[in-house]
Amino acid sequence: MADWGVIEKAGEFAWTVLKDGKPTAEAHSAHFRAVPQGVDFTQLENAQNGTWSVEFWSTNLYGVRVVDLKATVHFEYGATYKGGGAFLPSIMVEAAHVSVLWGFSLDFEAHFGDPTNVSQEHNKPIAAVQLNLVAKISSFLKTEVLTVPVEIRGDGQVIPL
Amino acid sequence: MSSQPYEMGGLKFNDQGVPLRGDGTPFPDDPSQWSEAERDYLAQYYFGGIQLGHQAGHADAALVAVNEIHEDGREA
Repeated sequence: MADWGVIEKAGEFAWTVLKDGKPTAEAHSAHFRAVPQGVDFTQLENAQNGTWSVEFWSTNLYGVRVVDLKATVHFEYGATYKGGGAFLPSIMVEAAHVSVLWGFSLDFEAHFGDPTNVSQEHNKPIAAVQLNLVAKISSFLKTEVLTVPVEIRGDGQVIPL
Repeated sequence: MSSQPYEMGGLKFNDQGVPLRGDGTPFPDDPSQWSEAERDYLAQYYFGGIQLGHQAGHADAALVAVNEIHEDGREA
């Protein structure tokens, strides 16, 4: 039996968007979903489209950008179940622009946490999930990692953490 | 990256963004083919001093009002 106040995750929970600077096959098809417990995302209605963008970069000693990445998170939000609630039937991550100079490589990953209900009212659940965007910038010397966390909510709020 | 040849510090680069050795030939991709002096130079002046940054853009999503879920499926 469905418990609307409990949000569960479906789809993929983590994937590699870029490997060595190139889009992966899974990046084109992977979706995260935050839905009411026991409910398939196809039962949700009235979803709206939203986006959030973030830019990552790495500079060297001379201030030259050796890596530049512009990523866009595409998400469906405000999806209702039986006329209410605000769920997230789809979140995708796109690498919209990638520039990697000679000698460097870039891996880019999306990691989702467990979704929660951030509503104070049981019959008005609002799904929320933390997304960690992870950029790994490597050279023959070492690998540097930059993680950018953000919370995406079913009512359309996007909260950098 | 494809662009005009350029210089960064003491390094020259070809139009493919590959740094050039003193004889004007591009460095091989494989670091094992670099001399120790070349490794030290590149480590300091090209690969060194790496700093990371990020900038979050704004969200393009209008907030929605949240209605109650009704067991019988009627709209709130």
